[in-house]
Amino acid sequence: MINKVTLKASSIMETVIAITIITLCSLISTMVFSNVINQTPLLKKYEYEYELVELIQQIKEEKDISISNFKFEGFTIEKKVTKDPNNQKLNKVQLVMAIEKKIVNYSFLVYEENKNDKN
Amino acid sequence: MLKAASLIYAIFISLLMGILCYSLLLVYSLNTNLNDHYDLRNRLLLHNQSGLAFIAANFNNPENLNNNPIDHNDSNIITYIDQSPWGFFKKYTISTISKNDTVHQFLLAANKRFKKTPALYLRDNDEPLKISGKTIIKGDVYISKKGLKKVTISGNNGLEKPLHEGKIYNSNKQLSLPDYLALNYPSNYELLLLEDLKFSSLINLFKNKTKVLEVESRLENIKLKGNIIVTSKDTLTIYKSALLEDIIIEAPKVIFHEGFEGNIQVYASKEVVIKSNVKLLYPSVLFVDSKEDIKKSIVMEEYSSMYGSLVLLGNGLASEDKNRIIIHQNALVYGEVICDGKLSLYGIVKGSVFTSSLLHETNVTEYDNLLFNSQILRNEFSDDFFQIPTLDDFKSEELIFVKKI
Repeated sequence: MINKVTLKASSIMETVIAITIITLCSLISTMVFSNVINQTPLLKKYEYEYELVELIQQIKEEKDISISNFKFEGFTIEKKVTKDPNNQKLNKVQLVMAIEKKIVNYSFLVYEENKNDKN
Repeated sequence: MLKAASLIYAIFISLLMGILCYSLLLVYSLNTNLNDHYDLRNRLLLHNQSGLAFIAANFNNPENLNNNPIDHNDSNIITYIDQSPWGFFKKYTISTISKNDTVHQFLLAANKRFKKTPALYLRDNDEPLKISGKTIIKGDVYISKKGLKKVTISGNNGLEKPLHEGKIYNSNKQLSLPDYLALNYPSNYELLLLEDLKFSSLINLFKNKTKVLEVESRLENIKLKGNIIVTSKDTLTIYKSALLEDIIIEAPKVIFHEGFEGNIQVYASKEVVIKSNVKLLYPSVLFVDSKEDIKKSIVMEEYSSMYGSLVLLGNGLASEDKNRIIIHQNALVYGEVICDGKLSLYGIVKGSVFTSSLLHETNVTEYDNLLFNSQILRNEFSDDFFQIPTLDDFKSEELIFVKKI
């Protein structure tokens, strides 16, 4: 004797609704996934940051307060220098860099020692 | 019976997908927050480091430091600088604040060594500077108009040739030294007795209130570090088992027992004795001065070494004979020796010597203004070293950061 299993079929309406729900969910999850992937910082960002840290270190060590631009593959760092009105040896250095559509600005102070100082 | 329920399955699948999407969003927002956090941390550190440049630029205008916060026009980050004395050094606190985050940095700074500091400055006492035996002076000297003479003293075979490399200038009749320098206590401090300490170690950070520790006559089997002033009303002996770092000691007489190592500042009113094999590490200052006209001395025994400044102040010519610094054979001072009295130098000074007069003693006699078998090597002294700004003519206007504390 073969065991008879009774399978109660879903109605056509139920099936259509189910397919719609699954489709919508897939659509939403695909959108969320693609947005998250797109907005996660690119590997390039770490490259920018590395170059920036190196540049800050170099400026501080060499006390280089000349105005200049630094070109790297795919991006440029603009260096601006302004002297403190109260102390001409104190310089405010600004590094401006465009990352994707965002402008990133780092500023710090550099004290320029006078090489001909009597001390 | 197996029930077909496509709608329930669909809802279940959509729930699973929802959970997955939500976790993905959570990971994403965590990643963004972390990036922002690291970016803010980098900016705070960068601005805090800018405080060093600001201090260096305003070293001679300290009123600019305490009153003016540094506004970087960047993400509401503001840096405050606070300055207070710590013995002979200046203690700087750099605090960078952004909303709920704060970065602190504590530093000791002092005047940078004056570049044109000579090897030897001997007050003009109308006698020539005499050098004999294996004496080596490398660097400029300021001496009396009578000049420099190479001599042979009794007991010396005369085969060794003393050496001086450098220019000779005329010195003044007096050393331009301050009258009296006292230790500045902070306005607010906590007084403790050594017996009150529960542990054999006391580490007090510089952001905390200064602890003033009163001790009897011995410091041993103890570790003291940081914002601590140790005072004693009697002779204080410091043993090898005491580990001391960055602290200040004030006592009439201080004796460093054999084998001690550490970096400290000492304010003594009568005497400091450094026994053999003691190492006083950078940055150390030994200072002897008193309001009263009493005998004062600093003695460095054989094979002891000191990286910093050795200062003995007196009352000028009137008390010259009462004040002595004795640096024995094979003892090393890397830094400055300032003596408003008589200096007996038998060891090595890698740095500069400023003295009112020199005295060489043998078993039978004494010689004034004589250096015998001693070395003053100005050329082996680094430019990046601090000085105690006691001498007006050789005072530097520049700053050097001595140590991060």
